[in-house]
Amino acid sequence: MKNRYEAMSGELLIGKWTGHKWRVEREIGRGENGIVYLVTGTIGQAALKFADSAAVASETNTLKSLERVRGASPGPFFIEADDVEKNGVIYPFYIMEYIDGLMLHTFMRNKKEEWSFILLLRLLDFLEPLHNSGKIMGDLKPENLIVSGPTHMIRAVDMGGITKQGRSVKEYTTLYDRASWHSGTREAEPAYDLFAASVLTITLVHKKEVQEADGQIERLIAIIESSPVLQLAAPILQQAISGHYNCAKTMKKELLICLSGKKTMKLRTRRKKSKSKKWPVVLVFFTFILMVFLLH
Amino acid sequence: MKMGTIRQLLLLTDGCSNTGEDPGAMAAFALRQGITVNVIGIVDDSKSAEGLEEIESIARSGGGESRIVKARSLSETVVNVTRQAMTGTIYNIINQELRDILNEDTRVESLPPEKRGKIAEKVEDISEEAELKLLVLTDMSASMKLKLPAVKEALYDLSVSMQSRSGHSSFSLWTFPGKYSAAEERIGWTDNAKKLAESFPQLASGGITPTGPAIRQALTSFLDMERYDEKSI
Repeated sequence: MKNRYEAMSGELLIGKWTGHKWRVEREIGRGENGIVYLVTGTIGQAALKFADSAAVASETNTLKSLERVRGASPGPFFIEADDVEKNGVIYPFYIMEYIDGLMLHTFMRNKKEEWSFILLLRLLDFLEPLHNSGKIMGDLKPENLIVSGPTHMIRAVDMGGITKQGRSVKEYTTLYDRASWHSGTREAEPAYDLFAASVLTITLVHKKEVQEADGQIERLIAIIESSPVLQLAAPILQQAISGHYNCAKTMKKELLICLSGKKTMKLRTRRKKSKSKKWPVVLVFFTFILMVFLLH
Repeated sequence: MKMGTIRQLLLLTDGCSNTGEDPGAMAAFALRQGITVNVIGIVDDSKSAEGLEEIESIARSGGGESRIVKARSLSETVVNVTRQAMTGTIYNIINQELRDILNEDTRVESLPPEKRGKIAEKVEDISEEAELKLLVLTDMSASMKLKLPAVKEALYDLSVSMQSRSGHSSFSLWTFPGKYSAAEERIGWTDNAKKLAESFPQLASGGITPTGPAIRQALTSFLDMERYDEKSI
């Protein structure tokens, strides 16, 4: 990327337009189109992203439009956009809320695999308001999502892929992109994200196998079918992959029914088993007491 | 704002040119005719790439984007580079207009951030709706042999992305070195990008890498098309 501004820890950045001062604490992210720093200003901690002018302007627009979603934003709150000017060169940046939490894949590292379902539910909670605002996430991948707070809410930390519905997806990653799996177009619609959400869930448990499936959808389905963990939600994951869902809320509802249905069935069978196992024990115990009583 | 046609030449190569005109100069020539030149350098997993400076310098003089990637991430790179270069082209036009209307030093960056937001919205609309003419120029020298399946896949991928756009797109495929000349046309201008992937040749031709002359020759394709358009009107 041309004209990238590399800030140092402790450096003081002064906004050209607002005059606001930001002290750089450390780098917290770096991608193809920009660098994100944790900074402190008069308002406290915030995240600052340097990118080219076009990216800053378009991501600023995205963040602002997300805030119109019922007060709580699926992404970070936008604070302000500004420039740093050094030696006659302009480096545009914007300031957003700093979301403290772990990136999705880091979060899963020391968790049981069953957590992948909780994250899928949370992911659907995240997607629903975003889709209702007429946009889709586009580049849905663990690196772009953060798990934060005690309720494990999922929020986006990279806005680059967020696309208006009906247009072609702005940015994507092959592994989660339905077109790369030959399973649909790259048109921005809720089903595009729900496909990615499904692949992401499978990836949280079987990353290597999904990578090895190499875009062959049959192999992806075979992974779901043969996975003991994913069994619980297999029908939902498969239907999302086949493009059955075009609404995050419906998918969430069916996922909940599916998960609870399986669980109660399991419990029921276990209870039956335990009952049938207990009966002879109770019988033996009873006859023993009876025998003792009679012998007396 | 009504937008004309965005014209791009996408060069896919894995190394340095070794004969003929300087590819950078040819890219600058293309830019003067309103054609943006993007370059993607495809490198092997094992070795660090040589000739990378050339890749960057071709793109710089061609007003486009450059990336160096491994074969397996070629698909998403081709699409992203094409999109970003479209945005870049539109911004260049806006900067030019601003300079004409206001003064020499005015660029989008000299406007306050809030105004830029409005421009960005417009640019996104234009890049979705504008007509795109994209010529893919692929290096088929011997060292590219193992990378050709990835190129084919990337072309297929590009067709999927461009079909999801609302604006009209047309494509042409050229390869170099050609049998009798620096470069040869494999598929003439077509609306159907899938054709590019379907009939992509899988045989490397080997020998020299005349990147500069290949760009010069491929450019004639844009000119021919204009002449044809005029006639047809």
